[in-house]
Amino acid sequence: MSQVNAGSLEPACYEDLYRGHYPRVVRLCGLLLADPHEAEDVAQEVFVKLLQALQTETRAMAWEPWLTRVTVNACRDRRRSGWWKRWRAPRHTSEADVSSNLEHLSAGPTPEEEALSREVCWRIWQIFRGLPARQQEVFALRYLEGWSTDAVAETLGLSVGSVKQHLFRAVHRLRAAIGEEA
Amino acid sequence: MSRCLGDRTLWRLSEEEGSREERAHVTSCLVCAARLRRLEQDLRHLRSALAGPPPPQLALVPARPVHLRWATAAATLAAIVVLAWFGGWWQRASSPPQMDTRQESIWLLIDGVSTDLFSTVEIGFTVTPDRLSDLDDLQAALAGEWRCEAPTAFANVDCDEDDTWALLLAEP
Repeated sequence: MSQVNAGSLEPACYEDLYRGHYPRVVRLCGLLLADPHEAEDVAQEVFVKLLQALQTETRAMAWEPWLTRVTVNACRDRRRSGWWKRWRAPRHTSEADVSSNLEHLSAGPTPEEEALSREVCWRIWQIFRGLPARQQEVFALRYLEGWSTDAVAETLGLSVGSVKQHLFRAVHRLRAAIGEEA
Repeated sequence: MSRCLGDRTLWRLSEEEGSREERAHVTSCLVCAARLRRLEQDLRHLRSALAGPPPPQLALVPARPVHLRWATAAATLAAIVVLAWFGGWWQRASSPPQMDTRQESIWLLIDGVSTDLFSTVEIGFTVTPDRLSDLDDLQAALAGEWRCEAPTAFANVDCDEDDTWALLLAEP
């Protein structure tokens, strides 16, 4: 895990952090929110908070885990907001959406994605959406961000055992999507 | 270790954890080795599928969406309304016979009380003035001017025959 020292209030430092982490934060937001527009919105909020933190924080800090923690919390806050739930809920998995999403998934597949059918990809996403928020966060940080279990536990404020429990449950449920295909 | 490993143990091995015995078992057991390979392949597939951009229209709350919660609340409310209506209907349907019986007994009681109160069978001995003119006669008698006094009473048509005879018979 790289550590960026952003103790002094220098524009270049913010620029570096922005360039280095903005795509990752957007991707994490997209994973936790399942909406690219919301992901962009929350990512911008996160970087506004980063700018404020850079202006007030004088100590040397590991900004990458800070950004991840703030991103996860911001996504959780967004998901908890009532208006967003009401806005999202009626759009849940209509048939038209399924077909458009399958087309979306087929755009620019990686070699691994090519090995999977579009239906399996869709099912994996659906099951991922059905996971509890904490399992989503742990899975995303461990397997998609490539963090160690200890780092995930520290960032999310959980015990290592709890992180492993969440991880195993998430993997167990997600594998069901692939298992149905097999 | 002769028994095959559980899913959780295999997953711990995929996380590069687990005991030396468990690792030794995987190297010797073809079934567990195949299961571990399959698990690692599935994890790669999961990473690959979720690493891309999320489907834009995929909803966030699939477990229990808000509109389902509203539907549940509406169904509960409807059930309460139906139960209340049915309860009222049932009460109305079952109560009329009871009301009839109660009303009948009340009417019987009223009839009995009225009969007892206003019956003239047992109070026949009570003298009530039949006519208002009797009062005049009484006043006249007290004043000594009673026209029906004998012996001229027989000639007077206004004098009651019974009263005249009673007076006559009562005289010494």
